[in-house]
Amino acid sequence: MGAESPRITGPTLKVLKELMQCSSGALSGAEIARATGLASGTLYPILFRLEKSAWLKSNWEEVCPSEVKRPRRRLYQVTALGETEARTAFKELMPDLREPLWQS
Amino acid sequence: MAIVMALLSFASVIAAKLSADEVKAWIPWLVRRIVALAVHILPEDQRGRYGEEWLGHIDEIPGDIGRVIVAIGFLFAGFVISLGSRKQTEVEACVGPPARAGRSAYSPGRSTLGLLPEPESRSLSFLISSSILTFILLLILCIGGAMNHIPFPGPTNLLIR
Repeated sequence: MGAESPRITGPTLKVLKELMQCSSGALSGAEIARATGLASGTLYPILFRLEKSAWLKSNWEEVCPSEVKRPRRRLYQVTALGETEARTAFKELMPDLREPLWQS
Repeated sequence: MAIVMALLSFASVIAAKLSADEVKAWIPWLVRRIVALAVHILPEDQRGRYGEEWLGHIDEIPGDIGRVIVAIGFLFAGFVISLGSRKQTEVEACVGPPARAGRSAYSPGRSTLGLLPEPESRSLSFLISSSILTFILLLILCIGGAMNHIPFPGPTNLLIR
């Protein structure tokens, strides 16, 4: 994983916020797309960049595709580094914000 | 004249219905082909992972048009991911690993398209334009199919009289 920080844009913050807010701790690409309203062409490059920067990690869903009769989902989670960096980014971009955008 | 018009409208309704059914039958195949193309654009080490992941994503989308739109989005995603990987590899080859590269050598905040060599920019714009054209064509075909449900004015009424 590279040491470069990813580009912080509005859609990137939306993705991070959604992943930090989710109660299950991990979301699939389709769930993130539904929650954020981002198109697949925007979402996956963001996930790729965040994962490459070690802000996110992803794992395959632990199900057997033949049993559930659908392909496995790749589940994304925010790492400790990602959470710290995202909080810093939120503070830098929205210094006047008093309420946290997510429940940790 | 009225009979000819009625026959023509009847034929066009049947043709629209048949073409709508045809398009509906071909859409899953088309979606699979678009996803396969998007996966092919990716670097080799990423193909297996994204192939399965994107098919899983498509599976969660209700409706054929939505699936086509998401699949076209994967083409863009494939290109951007591929360019991102390639750019990083090139930068690493020139200035060393990211730890030594620093933000001045490679700033992720800069425009991706502005950093591309000319041929890549051209192939990217070709892909974008062909994707948009495919989408417009599909939209026209689907609107044609949806027209079946709209009552046909004029000539059919003449036939009833």
